[in-house]
Amino acid sequence: QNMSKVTTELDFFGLDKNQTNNAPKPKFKKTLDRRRSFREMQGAISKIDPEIIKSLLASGANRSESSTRSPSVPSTPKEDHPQIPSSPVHVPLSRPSMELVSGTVPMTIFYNGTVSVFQVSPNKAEGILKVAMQTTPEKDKSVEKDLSVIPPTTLRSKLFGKNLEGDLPIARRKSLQRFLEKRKERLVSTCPYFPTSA
Amino acid sequence: MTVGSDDNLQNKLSDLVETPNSSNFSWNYAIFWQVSRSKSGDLVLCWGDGSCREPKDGERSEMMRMLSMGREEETHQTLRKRVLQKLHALFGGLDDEEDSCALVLDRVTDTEMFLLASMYFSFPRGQGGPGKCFHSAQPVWLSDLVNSGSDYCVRSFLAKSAGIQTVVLVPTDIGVVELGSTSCLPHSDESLSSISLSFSSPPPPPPPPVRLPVVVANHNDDNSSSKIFGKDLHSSSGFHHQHQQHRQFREKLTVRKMDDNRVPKRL
Repeated sequence: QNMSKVTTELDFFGLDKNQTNNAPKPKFKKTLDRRRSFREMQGAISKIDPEIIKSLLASGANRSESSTRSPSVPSTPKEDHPQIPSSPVHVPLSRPSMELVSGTVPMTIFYNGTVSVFQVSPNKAEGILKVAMQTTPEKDKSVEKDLSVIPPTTLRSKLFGKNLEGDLPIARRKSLQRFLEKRKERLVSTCPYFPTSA
Repeated sequence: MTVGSDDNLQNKLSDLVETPNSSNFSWNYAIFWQVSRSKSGDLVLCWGDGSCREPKDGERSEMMRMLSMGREEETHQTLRKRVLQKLHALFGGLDDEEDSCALVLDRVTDTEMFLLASMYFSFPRGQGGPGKCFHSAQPVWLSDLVNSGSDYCVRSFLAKSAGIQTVVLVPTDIGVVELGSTSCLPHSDESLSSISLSFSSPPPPPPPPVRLPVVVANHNDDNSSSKIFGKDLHSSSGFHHQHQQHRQFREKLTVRKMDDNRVPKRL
């Protein structure tokens, strides 16, 4: 496997589609904004081969405003791009210091246990989803036909809930619940008053 | 394939962590990585269950204690909580879930951060510490994590910040047990054996002797064993018995030679 050097960075603390101005916001509010937009991001998720997305995006770029193409979009083959793996694309994302292209949203794609984030226009996102529907293997009928009308959280739980890791997020949830239970018990026993902060 | 019931697994892990043996030793954390299959059919190790405890007084060096104090600081704590929330959201958690909110409360210790973050990891075949261990079917015993050049896993840095100095990985047929201690522990075959035994899938029960007509309860068969729900009460394939054996072996952590209790005795 020659993919060890190419990594995907998850957009944990960065890109916010509503970031219209650069005025520094209070840290906590930024967290809330990001959480909201993160949830909206998840409105366009599908398990499709990023190679298809790349070709879609490439065809889109050729057509119109290619000068405003976001730097985080995987480049077309004619560009000087270091080895493009044949299976799931790992795209190094630019740091959040880059200017966001207005009118685009981050689109997260999960494929074969990998995660990639692309910057696409909402139209492009829809187009990609339509292609996903067509290329989805027959047996995967469980994916909803009309993804665009499904509220983000439902879609997310449908896709995330199923195997990113082999059908066992249940184990994690149980462990987490037990951990928090134990913690509550410990807190109550050592400090009967509700803790205000760290 | 499971290690008995979920509660059984949790009990075993908690036991390793919460119950000191005769030498007053217990592990600081115990994780069971469960083998599973991804959608594409590949083998993958993912979170089965885990348990941890805070280091007791004297378990960590003075330096480690001081270093950890820096991570108690407000901004670092906020960062940890944010990371955990993101992980939770990314892997299917909903914002209004109690779990997500509860993570924001109180502080997250180094040990807790290590365990909580570990829950989101999975290891494809041959990848990462647990993945390689499972693939090779060989146990791994690292006694000096701080000074070791390479990382046993991508999570190593989290383990180190929790003061972990010894990491043990034990492969079984259904997963990998990962144990950690703040003490530098010398390699112990005995420990490896008992752990492996405890977390392996039970051997298949011996085939019932063929007879006609159907056996009535309390009827003495040639084995003189009483049955309940078709299973021998005294069969060494019972989890209870395995658990007992495990405790006995743990008592002998430091010294004695293990007698051959591994072979299930037929009654």
